[in-house]
Amino acid sequence: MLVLTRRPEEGLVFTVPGSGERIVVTVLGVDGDKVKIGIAAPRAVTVLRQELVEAVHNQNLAAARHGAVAGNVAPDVLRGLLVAAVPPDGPGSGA
Amino acid sequence: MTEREAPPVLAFSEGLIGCPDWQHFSLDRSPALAPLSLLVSADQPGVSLPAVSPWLVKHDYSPQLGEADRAALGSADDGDLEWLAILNIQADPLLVTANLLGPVVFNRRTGAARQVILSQSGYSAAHSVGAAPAQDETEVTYARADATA
Repeated sequence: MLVLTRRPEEGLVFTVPGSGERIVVTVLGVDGDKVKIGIAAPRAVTVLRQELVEAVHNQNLAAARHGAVAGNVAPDVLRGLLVAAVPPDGPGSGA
Repeated sequence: MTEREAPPVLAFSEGLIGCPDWQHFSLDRSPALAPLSLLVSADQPGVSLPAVSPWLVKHDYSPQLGEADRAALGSADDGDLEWLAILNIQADPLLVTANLLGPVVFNRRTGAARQVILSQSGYSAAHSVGAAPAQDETEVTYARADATA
C-alpha cells in the first residue's frame, strides 16, 4: 500500500486510464479522529464508502454459500415470510 | 414485457460487488420457485443466488439510481428496469435476510445489469425477512458518500 502524508487543503490526483480524466481527492479538514475529504471525479466514477462495499461483498459470498440451502426451504414457507413483511395493500410498483 | 420475461443472460460488466469475475448470470424463474428467482452464474460453477423483488420484502422500498449506474445500464427508463434483492437463505427461515443495500438492477430490453449500492438510503445489506422490518436498518449519517462531481 502506498502511504502518503497530506495536510488540510492538500490532495491527491488520480488519472483514469484510457480517458485521462482526473479524480482529485482533497483533505478539507481534520477534527479529532475524523478527516473530511472532498472528491472531484467524472460523473461515470462511482465513489463508495469502503464499509458499505464490504458489507455487500460479504452478503454476496454468504448468499452464494447458502444458495444450495434455497432448494431446501419450501417456497410456501418463504412466501409466508414475504407476505408477512408486506402490508395488505401490497408491494410498491418499483422505482 | 412482463416481469416473468427476462433476457436469457444478465451481463454485469463489472461483476457483482467484490466478485468482479461473476459477470454473467441466467435468471431462473421456474414457477416452482416462485416467489424466488435464481441468478445462476455462467462464470462460476455452483454459484446460484436466490433473489426476490425487494418490494416483497419492504413494501415502501424506494431505491434511487445514480447517474453513473443508470449510464452503465444504458441510460434506461425506469420502466425498462427491474430490481432484485439477493436473499441470504439459512436453513432456519426466520434467519433469512435480504440485501436491500446492494440490489441488482437490470435492463429488461438489453440484459445489461449492475449491482448498485444505495449509499444514502439507510437500507441494510442484511435486512431481516423473518422478523419485524426496519429494526435492523443501518443508520447512515453522512452527507454525501457516492458523490460524483
